[in-house]
Amino acid sequence: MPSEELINKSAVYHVVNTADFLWTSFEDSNILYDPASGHTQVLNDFAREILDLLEDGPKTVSHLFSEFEEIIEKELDPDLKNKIVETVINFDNMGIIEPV
Amino acid sequence: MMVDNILIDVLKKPEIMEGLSREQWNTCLREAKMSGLAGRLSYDARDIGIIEKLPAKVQDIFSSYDYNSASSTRKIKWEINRVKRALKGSDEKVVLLKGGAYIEKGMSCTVGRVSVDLDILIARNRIDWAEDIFLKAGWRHQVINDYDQKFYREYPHELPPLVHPDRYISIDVHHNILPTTSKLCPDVTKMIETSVKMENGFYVFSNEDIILHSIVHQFQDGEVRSSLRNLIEQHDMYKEFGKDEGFWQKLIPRAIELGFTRALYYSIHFAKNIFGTAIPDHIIADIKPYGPNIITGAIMKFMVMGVISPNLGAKGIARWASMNGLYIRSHWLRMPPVLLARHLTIKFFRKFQADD
Amino acid sequence: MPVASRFHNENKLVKLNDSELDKRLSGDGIAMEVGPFSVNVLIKFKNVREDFLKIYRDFPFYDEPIVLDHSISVFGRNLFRQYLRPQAFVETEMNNDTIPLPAKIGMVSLEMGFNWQVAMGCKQYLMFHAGVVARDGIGLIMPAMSGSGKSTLAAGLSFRGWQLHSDEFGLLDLDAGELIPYPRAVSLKNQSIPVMKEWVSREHDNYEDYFTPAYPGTPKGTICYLRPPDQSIEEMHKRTKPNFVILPIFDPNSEPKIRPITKTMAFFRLVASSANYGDIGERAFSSIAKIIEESFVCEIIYPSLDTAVELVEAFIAEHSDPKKAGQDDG
Repeated sequence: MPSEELINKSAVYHVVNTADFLWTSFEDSNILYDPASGHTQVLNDFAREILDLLEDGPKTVSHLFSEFEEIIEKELDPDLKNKIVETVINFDNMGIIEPV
Repeated sequence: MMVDNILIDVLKKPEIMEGLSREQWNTCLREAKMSGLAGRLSYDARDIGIIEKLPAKVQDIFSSYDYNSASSTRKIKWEINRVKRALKGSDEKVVLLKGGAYIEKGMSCTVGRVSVDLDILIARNRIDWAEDIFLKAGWRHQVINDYDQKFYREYPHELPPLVHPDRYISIDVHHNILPTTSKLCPDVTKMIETSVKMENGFYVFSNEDIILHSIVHQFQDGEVRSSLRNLIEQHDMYKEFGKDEGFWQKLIPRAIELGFTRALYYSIHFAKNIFGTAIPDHIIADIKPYGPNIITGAIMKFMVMGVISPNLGAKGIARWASMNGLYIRSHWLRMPPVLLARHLTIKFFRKFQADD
Repeated sequence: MPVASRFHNENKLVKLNDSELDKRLSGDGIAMEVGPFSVNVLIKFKNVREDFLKIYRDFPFYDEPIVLDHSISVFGRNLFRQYLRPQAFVETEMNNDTIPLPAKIGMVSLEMGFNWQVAMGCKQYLMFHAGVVARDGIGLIMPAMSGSGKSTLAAGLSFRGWQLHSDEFGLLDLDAGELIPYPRAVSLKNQSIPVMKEWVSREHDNYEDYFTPAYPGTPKGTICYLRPPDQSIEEMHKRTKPNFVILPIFDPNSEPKIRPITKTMAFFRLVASSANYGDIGERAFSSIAKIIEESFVCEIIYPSLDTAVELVEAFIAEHSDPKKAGQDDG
């Protein structure tokens, strides 16, 4: 089932407490501590990229798609789109981003 | 009513911490830990700038309780944040109760305090709607047995506790502040009507109702173990809210309106006698007629003092009896007698099985 | 003033004569030092006192009044429970809800009470559910679930020249970034009891002296307690920075093997092993990040205590220069 349908594509997401986040990174991951929730999350480079894009400025999922398409210089396949949507949903559930 | 209790002395005058002997510290810390007030003492010591003069061991123990209260505050705030996220897009009036309200209002009684769950209040006819939203947003009913489920559904004043598997703070969604079976159960719509909207979109009760809720909770509800903590919480509230003369004018009329005069009498009586709380004379005079007859009053006093100050009586047994005495009493006030007998019997058998 | 300077090394419990010890332990209790904690211990049952002293006889006690971290009492709730059908009830002054056990296994209640206190009431130190040992500036954390054999492994290493910090509760001083020794009774369960007896007997002829009687019929099966090596009790104040994290996996049918793991994995295993990470918050995150940065990490799979000790020592020898720690991942 395409998870694209699980999300409202016109919702604009922003990163809530960017300035407060603590980061550490190892060879294969970025680890984030959010002092507001007290939760620790592990982000691979792909997820980190999505968060970076949202940190640059609030965006809808469609925005994220086109930003990624610019980065990789080709159209996103449905699988990658799903991964982006899933990541955004996960970020929202973790409380590190929320709809504006 | 004079009480020879070092913890109460320290709560009243934190500066005496500087002169405590090792033995006094042990008594004081033991009682503070049992009453959930160690974090409060730590805050007080820091607040008046004597923390560095205390024994190294005391500072060490205090720092443990500092982490405890900071963590509790963070968890409650975060749960409020998550509730807000789940409710996004609705304009339903959701009232934060107790710890959640104190924290969001930044009240003085929250310092060093530990809250284990988040209580919210919502109109009775919106309770199913709220439950639905929480379940969809990932909260789950805390695993409880069928009997408890039935108990929550049929009689009292809240949904069975909801817990989000990522967090472990339980949310109690109330539609009243007391069980609907309680003879003291107020017309809660009056309290919702006068509640005040905060910046984050949640509501909190008016100051009078916040303190009255704390009071009925202590003197009618099942929470006797933290009696001293509740009482100091009320002491802080009298101090904080009482700066506004309007608070004193509204307090007794509101207690009459909601039917909480007896409980208010106890609170004023104990706060003044135990903590020397500054209560205006006219309030003391006006609340007096609502006090208990002498016999009930004496029993109540005996029991409350036993709980507050365990080293007053013959230690263990007296404390146990007092706790259970108060426990039964508060249940008696919450439910009609037949129901009560049933509930206690079942509770007893479950405990019995657990012990075996 | 550091806590350590307030106690006197010569004040070992065993220096008191038997009747004095008995009188004090059963009266107001004895305030003693267990790792970084001062604990008052009161025991109303004679058999529990005997078992207790078997483990803690060389621990220091305080003669002058001391501010206590914890108090623990083992007693019968009433005369019936004290004398006729003796049942040991534990009071930790921390709203514990433990189930009373028969007095003949009262030592188990006592140790459970100790565990409860440190698990619930110790937020000033970052706590790992892990076996921790140290030697020559090497601080080794072995985080693991129950049943991984970490208790046996930590105890096993400690009877081969390592300093036992704890078989179960690793404590980290958040300011200094050092592991704090917390030697206590090593809790051995079921089949690990004969394994450890054999292990200790290779070094000590009087090995039985290190063990309490076995307590059958506890909620976790048969339990037996082992006293830490004398040296570990002597060195109770010697702290070490952590620089190795090894995840032990006991599998009786396995080939002994060192398996590389990522630092991310090690990070999360340390976080998952910590009971108070979530309460301490930011400083816990930074501390664990630092430990993992500065540590060599791996997983070992082993079928026996002998092979486990070999694997641990081999991995450490391979990365024996602690200054190089963290610069490559082996």
